[in-house]
Order: sequence, then C-alpha cells, then structure tokens
Amino acid sequence: MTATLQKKICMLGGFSVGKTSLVKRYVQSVFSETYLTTVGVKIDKKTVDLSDRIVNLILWDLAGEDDINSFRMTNMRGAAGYVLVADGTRPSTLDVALSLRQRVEAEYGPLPFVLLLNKSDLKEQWAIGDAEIAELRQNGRWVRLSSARTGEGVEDAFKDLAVRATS
Amino acid sequence: MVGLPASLAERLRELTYNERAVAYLQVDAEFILVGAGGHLDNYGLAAMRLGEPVIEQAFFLEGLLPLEETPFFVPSVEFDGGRAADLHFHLDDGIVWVVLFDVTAYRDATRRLQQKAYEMTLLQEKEAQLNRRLEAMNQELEAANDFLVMISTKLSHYLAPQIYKSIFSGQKDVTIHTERKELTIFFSDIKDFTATTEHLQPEEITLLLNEYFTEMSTIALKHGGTVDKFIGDALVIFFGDPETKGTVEDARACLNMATEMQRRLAELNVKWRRAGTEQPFRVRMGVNTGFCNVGNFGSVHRMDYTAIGAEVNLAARLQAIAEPGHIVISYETYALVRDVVAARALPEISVKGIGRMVVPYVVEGVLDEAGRKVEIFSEHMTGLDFYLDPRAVDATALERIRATLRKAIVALEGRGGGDYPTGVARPGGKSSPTKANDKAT
Repeated sequence: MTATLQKKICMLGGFSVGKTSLVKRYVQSVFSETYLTTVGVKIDKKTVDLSDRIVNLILWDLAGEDDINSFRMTNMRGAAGYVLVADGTRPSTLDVALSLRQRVEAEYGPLPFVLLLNKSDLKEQWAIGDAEIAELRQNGRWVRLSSARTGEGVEDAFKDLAVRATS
Repeated sequence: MVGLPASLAERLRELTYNERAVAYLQVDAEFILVGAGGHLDNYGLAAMRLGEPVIEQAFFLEGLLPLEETPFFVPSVEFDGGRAADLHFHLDDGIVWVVLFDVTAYRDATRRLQQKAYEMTLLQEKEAQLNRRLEAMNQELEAANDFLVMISTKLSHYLAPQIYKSIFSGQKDVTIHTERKELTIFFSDIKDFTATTEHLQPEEITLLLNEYFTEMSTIALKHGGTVDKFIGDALVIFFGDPETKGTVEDARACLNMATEMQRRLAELNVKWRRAGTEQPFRVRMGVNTGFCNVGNFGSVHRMDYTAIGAEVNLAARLQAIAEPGHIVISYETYALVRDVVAARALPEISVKGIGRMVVPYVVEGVLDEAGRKVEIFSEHMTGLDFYLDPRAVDATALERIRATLRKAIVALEGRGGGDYPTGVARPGGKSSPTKANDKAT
C-alpha cells in the first residue's frame, strides 16, 4: 500500500472490561476512574518502534459486546490482529471474549491476537484462578494479566501484537 | 428526490446536507485522494490534500480499501473533537466514495441509555457476586457450626448436663474460679461391688455398671441434681449449683432422688437376678448439707467442675456408716427435710475437719401428706428381693400383696432355721412369692 507499515487492530470484549481504558493508557498514558461506555467505534493511531521497523497501529476501540449491542462482525474487516479483553473480576466476561474469538476465527480465519485479563490491580476482587489461566495459555496462546490503571502488561501486549501482525 | 414536490425536495436536501453535516472523500484505485468536499471541518478533516495517498491523511480508512463489497457501512465512528459520523462507502466507476453523516446527537442519546443499562447490569452482577460469596461463607459457617455441634455433643457426655448447659449457653466462663455455696451432697457406693461381680466377665461388669449409672443419673437429672463424678462404683451428686431452688428445696429434692434410686434399684435387682447375677447390688447412701467450695478446680490445661470441702467429706463418711440399702443423713440435712422423711438418730460421730460432733440419722421412711410415717422396706440378698413402698402401691393390689406376704411367711416358717447354707437353693423351693402370687390370681 505505502512505505509505512500500518495495521488495523481491533479491541474486542464484553462491556466495561476496559477496552477504551487500555487504548487510552497505551496511546495517551492516562487513566480515568470514570466509566464511559463506547457507542460505535473510536479509532486511534499509535506508532510503535520495533527497532528494525516502525509500525502504525490503527486501533479500533469497539463498543463492548452484550445483549443490547451485538458485535458487528464487519467492523473486523481489514484487521491484522485483535486484542481480546476480559475483566478478571468478572469471570463471565472471559466467556464473552472466548466466544468472540471463535466467531472472528470462523469469519476471518486465524489472526494474531492477545488475550488480556484486565484489572489485575483489583486483587481483592480477582475471580479467575491460576489453573484456569494456565489452561488458557495452552497451544502457546498469548495470555497476560493487565491493568489500565497501573499500565501492567499494556505496552507488551500491543508490541507483541505489532510484531506478529507485521512478520 | 424524484416524485417529491420541489419545495420538499429542496428542504430535504438542506436538512441532510446541513443538519447531518454531510462530507465526502473520493479515492481512486491507487488509494490516492482525488476529491473531497462538504462539511469536512466538522470531522477535523479540513486539511485534506488532493493527489496524495489517502491512508496517510485519513488513517481510519486503514484495512477498508479496496472495497470488498459496495455499498459498505460503518456506523458511528468517533472523530477527534468528539463528533460521530456514519461512514457510507460505495464504488462508482473505479472511484470509492466515502460519505460521512453526522450522528453525534444520536450517538449521545444512545450512550446515555447504554450507560444506564450497563451500570444497572454491573450492579446486578456485583450483587449476584456478593450473594454467591455470602452463600459460600454461610456454607463454611454452617459446616464449622455442624462440626462444633458434633464436638460439643461428644463433649456433653463427659459433663453434667447443667454444667454443659451453663458453659455452652455462655453463662459460665471456663476459668479457674470457685464460689462458696450451700449444697446438699449425695454419696452412694455399692456394697462389696468387687465381691459381688467377681464371677462376671469384665464386659458384663461394664454393661451392668453402665446400666446402673445411666439409671441413677437419669433419676438425679429428673430431680435437678448435678452429677459430679463417678468414682469406680461410687456416685457423687450435689444440689444447689449451678441451679438452685433454695437450700430446703435442694435438700428435699436430694432425699426424693435417693428414695427413688432405692426403689429403682429394687426393680433393677430383679431384672439382673433374672439375667443371671447371683448377688444383688446393695447401695449405701449418705447425704449432707453445708457450705462447700464449688467451681472449676485444676490447672489451665485440665479442669474439673466439682465441689470440695469438709462437708463433702462428711457426706462420704455418712455413706460409709450406712447399712446397705439405707440412707444416712446428717442432722443439718434432716433439719431441712424432717417434714417429709422419718429418720432415727444414730450415735454421734466426729469427722476430721468438722469442729462439731455430727449426729447421723438413718432414714426409715417418708412422711405422707398428713405427716404419718410410711416405712419403706428394702431387703436384697441371695434368695430375696424385697422392696415395699406402701405409698407407691396401688390400692386395688393391696389384698393380693397381703396374701403373698402371708404365704411367704408360712413358707419361711415351714423351712425352719439354718438347714440350708446361703446361696444353695432349697429342694423343691421354686415357689417364689411371685409364683405364689400368680397362682392366687
């Protein structure tokens, strides 16, 4: 297309798992405690320096999946990878994330993705066991704990995805 | 707009273009921006450069070109500055048109509704989660409680029920602490227990002793006594702690218990005799009333709830001088129960630790409501089980009992004296009073 490597990456997951907060933390290095639901999509750009190449990530922060807002599969069109986000304090959001992955794979085939178990700073309310996380990691899947509040795991996740989406 | 009146068509055009801030981009097959117009500034896209690659200027198009289908639609895309637009794509003669419609107002309205709905759902999820945690905690508590109940039930068998109750209800602290209280203390002992049971197997002795203690404890409980301890075949019971009805009532309850124990023992002896024991259990009982130290004695590791003091020792001593089958009480107790029992004074004795001379009284019977003495007969030996409490006898059975006793006397007179050594059955002497009685009816 052009000399610049540019890749579309989608943020997928249930509502209120922290997709918008993760993008905000990654792109603007800020975090807000206020919850503001996303309608439609907010598209942001972040340039990643991978030392041998520079990649522009075009981040599609999509509205969360739930009963009243079913996921528009066409929003995934042209994506080079995706970030699955679940809320570690709400086990049901992990099911939502895994079901989204299945549906994306059925439509677009195997794409690079990372699975973030977000809100790792909320240790008191954490509800996903270590055994379950170990099982999620089977087949070399990239699964990390993350926190948009502290920044834990955020940079790594996007960088890893940038590497895999451009190699 | 074909078919619409000109005025309406013009109005619609105006509404769509201005109110919805329509803007467009045109992109050729090489992804070069070849045209742009409309309200581009509404979306922060005013500085678009024609003739240059579009992706660098409008990164939101990344991945969407070339068009895979036409028309194509991406709803509610938020642009810098907060405006939201629906993106409509269509291909016409090799050119991709991207048309933007402002939907900010619609997006904001949707967001308000969605925000409320999600916050509500989050609250419900949180509530459900809390409920699950509560339930899990309740289950744990229940399990812990069941365990405690099980343990305390096991423990209860090692304690007098009143003590158990007062500890487990939280009334009494389990600390080394004693009080001085006026108690009526009861001591009982089986005469020659070892000799009586020496021909029995240890298992049989255990069974016999357990039955004896169970029966006696049941009677003690019925009268409100605190079963202090079992020492071998001896039994210590006191009245007045932890529950008391007053010194007089406690002493009366103790005497009532003692006479009921003797009565029950007579029945048990008959039963045990039938089961094969040769010697009956003959029990001496002693009762005293006085101030004792009562409470927890021992160490912090092992405590006993008990009563100690010279008055307790006196009860033991009175028991020792009682004839088997009899109850001996101190004057102090007799003074409290003299309106309900008939007793005869025995020679006075001295007891270590007690400064005064003690006058023991042997209980000869109980007094009826009119204050008349009702003598109780109790004799148990090889060849005889005899217990008679005239108060307890049913009036309709009186004649039958008299007949039986008369026949028994005749039988005994006929036998004479000293012909048969103790423990040897008399030839043809099978006719027991019971049998004679059977024939009579």
